[in-house]
Amino acid sequence: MTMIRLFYLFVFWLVSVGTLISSVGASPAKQAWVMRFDLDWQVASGLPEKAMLISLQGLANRNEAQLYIIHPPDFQWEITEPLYDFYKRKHGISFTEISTADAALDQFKSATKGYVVWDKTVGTSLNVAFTISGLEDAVVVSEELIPLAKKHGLKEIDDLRGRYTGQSDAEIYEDAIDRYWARCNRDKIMLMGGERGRTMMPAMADWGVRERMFFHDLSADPEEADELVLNRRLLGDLNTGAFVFGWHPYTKDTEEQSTMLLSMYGLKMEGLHNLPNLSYNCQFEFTPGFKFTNNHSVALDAKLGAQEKVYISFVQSDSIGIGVWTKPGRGKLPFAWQVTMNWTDFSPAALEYFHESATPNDYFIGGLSGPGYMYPNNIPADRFPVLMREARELMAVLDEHVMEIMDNSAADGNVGNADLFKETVDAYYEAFPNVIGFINGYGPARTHDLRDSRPMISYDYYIDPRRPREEVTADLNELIVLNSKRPYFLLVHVRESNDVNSLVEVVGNLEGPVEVVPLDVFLKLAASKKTYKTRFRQADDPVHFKGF
Amino acid sequence: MKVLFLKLLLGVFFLPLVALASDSDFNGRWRLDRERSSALDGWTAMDLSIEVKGTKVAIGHDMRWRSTRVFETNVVDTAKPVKLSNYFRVDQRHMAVYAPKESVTPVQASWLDKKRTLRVEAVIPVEVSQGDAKIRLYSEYRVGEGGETLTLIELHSTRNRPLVYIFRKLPSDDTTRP
Repeated sequence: MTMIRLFYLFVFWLVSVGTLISSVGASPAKQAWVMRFDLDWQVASGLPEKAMLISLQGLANRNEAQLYIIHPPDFQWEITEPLYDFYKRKHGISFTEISTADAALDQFKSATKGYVVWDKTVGTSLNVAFTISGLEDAVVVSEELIPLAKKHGLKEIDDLRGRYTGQSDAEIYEDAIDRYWARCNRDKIMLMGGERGRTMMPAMADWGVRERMFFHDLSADPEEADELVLNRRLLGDLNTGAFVFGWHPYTKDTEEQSTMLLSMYGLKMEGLHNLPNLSYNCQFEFTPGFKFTNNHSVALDAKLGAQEKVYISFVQSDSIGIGVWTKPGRGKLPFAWQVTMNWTDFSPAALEYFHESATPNDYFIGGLSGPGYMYPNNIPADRFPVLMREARELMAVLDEHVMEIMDNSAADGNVGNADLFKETVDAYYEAFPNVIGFINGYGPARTHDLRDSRPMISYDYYIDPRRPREEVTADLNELIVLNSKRPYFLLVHVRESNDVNSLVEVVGNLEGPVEVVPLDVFLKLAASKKTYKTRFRQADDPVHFKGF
Repeated sequence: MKVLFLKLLLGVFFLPLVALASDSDFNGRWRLDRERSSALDGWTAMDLSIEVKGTKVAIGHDMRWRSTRVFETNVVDTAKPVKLSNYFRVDQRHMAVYAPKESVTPVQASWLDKKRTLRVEAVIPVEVSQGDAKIRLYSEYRVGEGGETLTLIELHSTRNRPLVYIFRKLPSDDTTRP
């Protein structure tokens, strides 16, 4: 009897392992479909069809990578077309273009079990519909698209028209939590905020639908207490180490409030709300033989000596996909690029594309603050080492030697207090013994330190893309005069949408013994002669948002 | 919050009344003409409220950035140098140049050009990444003919490019904020 049972167990084990191996080793399909979107995301015109197609994309891509969406070059995520080319070129994907929603439904209707109707007069109902879409395998349609869904034999699964009329967002989400939250993914949640009202841009919804996430745009503003309490309930219910995808809702709260709140729960943020195609991208791995090789200008253990100069280094954060990567002039100056490290899991092809197209002047750094976007002054002490271990591992995969930190919880956008408490700085030095150094801020900040050979340098300047270049030049020259000791280490944050050509002109008009250097060289030089003053965030420093 | 409210009450309601009772063209509220001015940095809008009373000139700055509102006043004296606590300057807020928590700024002011120009010179302590530094700030406030335009020219000892801000006078019954 025992032998028979052992035999059956062995057979069961073989089958299980076989299934596992075949699923892990499965390559994405070589045949896929592609659609092209325009820039019309208005509720009254372009949004309803896009919402339907994005939900369909999430369902179609649930089991295999089938549908990819290309956005125009001036969409915030500007690399969908280059990445599409990358899939064709490096993964050998053959795409068939689908030009109408009708054809898309025809192609992928088998991925759906029906449709859910959202109420265009209650924008929030779209988020509820996306939640239902993921749970019930339903495409999301507005009233005028019902005939199209029916034409393809789809049946109504739910109809939200009228259900939430006259209700506040808190009331709507309270109802949605009661109905759906218990069945939703607890490792991932979709903060589907961003634009609200007449325009909504839920381009990331495919990912939430695929992963059966709960969609919401609850406020993190304490002045909207009824929403905040629900928001906190959801965050508190998530599993340890979970992700918050999407972005905060504009006009309801601020990025600072939202990111501070989720950081307090030790969660990881990945955005934006309009980051497209994750349901497709996540199914690819790096191409065989690919290994990240960063453009290091200096070895980890090298020692450099700073001269009596002004050393400038440029950094572009905001994630490379929405940055100046595709703008003219890249490669003309040494530039550091903050990489969204979790794309190793969610968008490996995008990371590989960036590395493949990097010039020798492009240098990648880790961030933002950890394995995702988070504000470290607010991360619970017991979660910090776990998160930073994750970040260390990702940085090792990505061959990165510099960690970028940002805590804007007390700032007001790109101005104000972006400093780190000494305890936070201590924790970073302990967590990252093998980095070249740390950089801090978004707007300017004044957290500076040097321990052993690892400096922590904050941005001394933030380039607003709208600021006239002659004023940028004058600002930088003024900083050079005010910081009169040499060497002076001038770290500059280049906001997304600046173009590098204009910075070449700015650099040419700087006064003094200026040298633009790659970030790793900059930090090594900053380690060699400390002319900056050690400073941390102080309890009585001005703050814009006092916290929760 | 209460302090800010009181400051605003003074700035928005009291100053226009004072302006009516005074003969200086400077008196009143002035709104920045952004199109014709040097670009603000880290601020989106600015009003000045000016009150001339004897030898003293109160220069109020009503600043806005997103939801942030700041109202700060420097009171200078055209008869003698003064030392002002926490002197307010229109800073370029994307530069790591910070006002110290407590500071004293020596300020000299005088009338020029038959009182059509107010000259203000201040030596302002600041904190930068290398520690403490100072900016000598030379400002001229010039009222244009007809009294409808105010031009503020700022020269920094640390900056070779002047900053020029042009303001238009607000009607005395205009209580809007920038």
